[in-house]
Amino acid sequence: MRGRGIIPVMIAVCLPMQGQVSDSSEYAMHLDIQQVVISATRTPNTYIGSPGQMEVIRRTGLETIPLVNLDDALITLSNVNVNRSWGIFSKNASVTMRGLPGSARTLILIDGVPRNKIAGGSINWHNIHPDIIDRIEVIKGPSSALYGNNAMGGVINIITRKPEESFAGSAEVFGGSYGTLGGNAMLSGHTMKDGDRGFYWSLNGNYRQGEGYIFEPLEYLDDTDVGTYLREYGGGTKIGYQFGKGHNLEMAAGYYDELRGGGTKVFEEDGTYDAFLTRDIRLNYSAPAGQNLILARFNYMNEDYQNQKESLNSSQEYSLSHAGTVKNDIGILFSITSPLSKKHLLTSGMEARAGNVTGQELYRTATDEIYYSGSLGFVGLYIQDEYTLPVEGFKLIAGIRADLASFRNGQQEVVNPSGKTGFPESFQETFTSSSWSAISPKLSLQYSISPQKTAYILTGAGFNPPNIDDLVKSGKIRKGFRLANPALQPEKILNFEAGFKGRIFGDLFMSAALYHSPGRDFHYLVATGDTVDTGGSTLRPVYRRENITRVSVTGLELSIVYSLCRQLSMQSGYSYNHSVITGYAGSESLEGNYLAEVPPHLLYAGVTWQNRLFTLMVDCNYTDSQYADDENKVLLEDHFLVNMKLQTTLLDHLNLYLTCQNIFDVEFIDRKNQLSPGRYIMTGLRYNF
Amino acid sequence: MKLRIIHKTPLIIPSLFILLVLSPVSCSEDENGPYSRPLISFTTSEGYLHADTSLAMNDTALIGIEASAGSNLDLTLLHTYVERDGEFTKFDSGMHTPALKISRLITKSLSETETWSFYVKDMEGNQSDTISLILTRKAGSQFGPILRFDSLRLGAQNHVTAGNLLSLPSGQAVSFPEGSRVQEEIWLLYYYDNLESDKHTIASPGANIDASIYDFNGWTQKNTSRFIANSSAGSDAFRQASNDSLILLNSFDFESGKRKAKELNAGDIYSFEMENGTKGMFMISEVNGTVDGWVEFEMILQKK
Repeated sequence: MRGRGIIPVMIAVCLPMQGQVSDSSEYAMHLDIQQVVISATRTPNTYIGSPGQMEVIRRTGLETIPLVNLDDALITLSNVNVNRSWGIFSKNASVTMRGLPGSARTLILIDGVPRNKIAGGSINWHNIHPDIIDRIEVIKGPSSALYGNNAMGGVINIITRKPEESFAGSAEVFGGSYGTLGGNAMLSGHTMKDGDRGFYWSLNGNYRQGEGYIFEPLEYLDDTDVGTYLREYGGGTKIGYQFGKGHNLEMAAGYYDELRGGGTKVFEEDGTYDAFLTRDIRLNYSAPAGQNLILARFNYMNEDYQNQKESLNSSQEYSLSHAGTVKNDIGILFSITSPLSKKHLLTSGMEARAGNVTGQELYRTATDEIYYSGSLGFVGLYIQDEYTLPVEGFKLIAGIRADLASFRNGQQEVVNPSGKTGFPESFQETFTSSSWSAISPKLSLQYSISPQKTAYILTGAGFNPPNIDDLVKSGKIRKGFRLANPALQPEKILNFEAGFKGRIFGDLFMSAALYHSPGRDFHYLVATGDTVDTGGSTLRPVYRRENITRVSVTGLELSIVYSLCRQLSMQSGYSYNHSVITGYAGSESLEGNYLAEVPPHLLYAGVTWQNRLFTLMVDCNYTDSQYADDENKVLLEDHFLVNMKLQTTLLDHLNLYLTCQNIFDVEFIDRKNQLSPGRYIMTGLRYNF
Repeated sequence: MKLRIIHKTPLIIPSLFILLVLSPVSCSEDENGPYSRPLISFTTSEGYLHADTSLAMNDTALIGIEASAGSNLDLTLLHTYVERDGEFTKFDSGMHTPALKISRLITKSLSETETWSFYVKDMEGNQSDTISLILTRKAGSQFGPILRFDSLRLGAQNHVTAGNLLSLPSGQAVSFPEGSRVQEEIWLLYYYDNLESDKHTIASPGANIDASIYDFNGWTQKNTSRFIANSSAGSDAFRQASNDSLILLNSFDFESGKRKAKELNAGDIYSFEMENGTKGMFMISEVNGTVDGWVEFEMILQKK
């Protein structure tokens, strides 16, 4: 009975609106197989012609998805795991791919410029506002042959919008659960006539605040638990001059100020908090030179992070500390793409990046002071050939990149330690400089079964450099006491993959991949056998991060996009990863254990219904249970969330929307045993002109 | 014409924004007013020791410390530093207050000379002067007698028969209602903690124990004892002790001790000190069960 009822409903949904929507693919959130993308090869290619697995979230998709932060959009992709357990009140989101944990193992780019901080590999998702984005291109699997550092699980390239109107703008106000209020504004324009030559510019700003919620489970609540508030504002601009087609000079800059409560307040007005001030600037120049295309990039990012932590322990002893880091990242890239012949397209380039961190921890209720600093630099050279084989339909892409890295200026100073930090006495240590290299090859063979179907096999490599914290900073961590290891080397992974993508029939598109990725030299904390008194009731074990682990990720991913009719489209994604430790040289027995924070099964499904009156998207995602620790002792429960966004346009210029995340108010806890916010509702009004 | 103006003006705005992003972070005027260092002194009222002196071993002396912030930044740290014949002990007390007035009972240790030093810091790390007291040991000091309890058993919070609280100096295990009638005698108690995973725990009424375990609301006197795990004192020395020399050798400064002796196991030895200056040691013989379990231990205590 239920099955028979679906067809009339579909007809009712689709038929009345026939002819009002011009192209079904426009409303499929992610897929236009002929869309030109640039991230897979650093050269323009169609989606279907790009090697390996990739997905694109288009502007129309970003406007439709029930997101409140940019990273929420990424859950719609197969094999991308977004961990944002406190919702908008999370200090940050962790975005991981292909069965590898840790945000540092996924490379995030904005307009091709790396966003992962060299000092730790993480990125701050809050300072990338969805309004500025044209599309997000996501490359699955290790991609260090082109991109170097961090590209182990994949690459996410966020491409910003270029003004399309001579003058346009928008203003938005919104409010939501837990006292959330905010607004955004954007202005843009250009002086280009016929889209050829002239200036273009954009300016955007945003503000958001919220009272937050108490994440401590009821049974652990005490008087010091308060809401995880937030106050943030930011802005950005882009100025460019287009000299002609493909000849462009562009400068973009961003500023972002954020304060987020940590859920505890004793005496200080702001209680425990994390505060970030981020400033960045990017320069992009691209120019045709004969048949060649030249690309040059420069970027600089500065992040000032401050943390205040206050607490009362069970014995009512008060503790207050301040920590802060200043991180600087700078980078340049020069690339040239040359068609050597009709069959060869050669891309080569040089990339240099450097980053440093200066940090301090000052204990206000103890005498301890800790200072540390260090810097890492990289130089990478890469070359890639896209070779159209003489055999019809076959294309070979071969590439290799060599990276040389150097760790310098590492030092740590500890002053007047007490039992609080575990150091026995004051000391100042300067670490020996070190260097390492990584060679990352890639080879892909693809076969065009038809203009709309491609099959491929490929192998590639990825690496992830050590975190500066692990290189230079000894100190207390959650599970014990960590010793610095200035000799830490990068982690490396290989990938062997076979896949398919294309139109199956009608408007049903599918992509699928099977892969096996053995990794070596993975970073793990190894117990040294020593213990130290860090002020608790028991002695804490001492650890050092070492390159001692071999891992294996074997998995599959599947993505299906189907436009039932011009008004109704659906997207779904599924992935399975068997991510395990296959070798471990430490004293504990971790061999055979699952990698922590990797849910084996991820499932996503979403339906978009667009008509004359409104656009409705309802989606759901399932995150499998996952271990919270390397020892596989703490298992986090799985969860299934349903979200929706309903929007309508009024008087041509006004857009009214209602977003509801986690409609059924599912409660789950994260690895720190803290609660999720449950159902989150946001409504807003946007004026476009 | 109008459009051209619109185009030019916004180009200036993004340019100014870029300059803002590139400019160094501006310096804001200090919100905390002019700094001056926090002040600290010994209490000089009658009954308080505030000058160098000689004391016999085990003698106690009351000292008072008064401190105030030098600006509108609250005091957050009182640092205590004790030197005993070249051995150093230091401990920190956290706070958040514009002014501090505390009293401490200190006990003359085994050492010939000991120097007690104190300073305070405010929350920006501004430090006061350091004030010190030197105590020398009076000639002819003797080790004191001890009380020995060879087998004490305390029941956990849900144990139906064994007493949960230890009345001292009698060494009698009493139930919680019985203990509430002799509050001044209750210095030690036992429970099994599964809220903080502390498991088998010996503490005292002043240890902020969760009310779901023992509800001390309504008690007018909540004595506090503090504990330090002691790995160097062996069980043989413990059992052979005939005076308080072992206790004094393994003693600690009250403020540096923990309020709870947690995760207890058979064989563990702890030193403890009661708020009134009496010191002791206990050695765990056996732990059993959980919330309805019990602990058995031997104890030596200074006889005063």
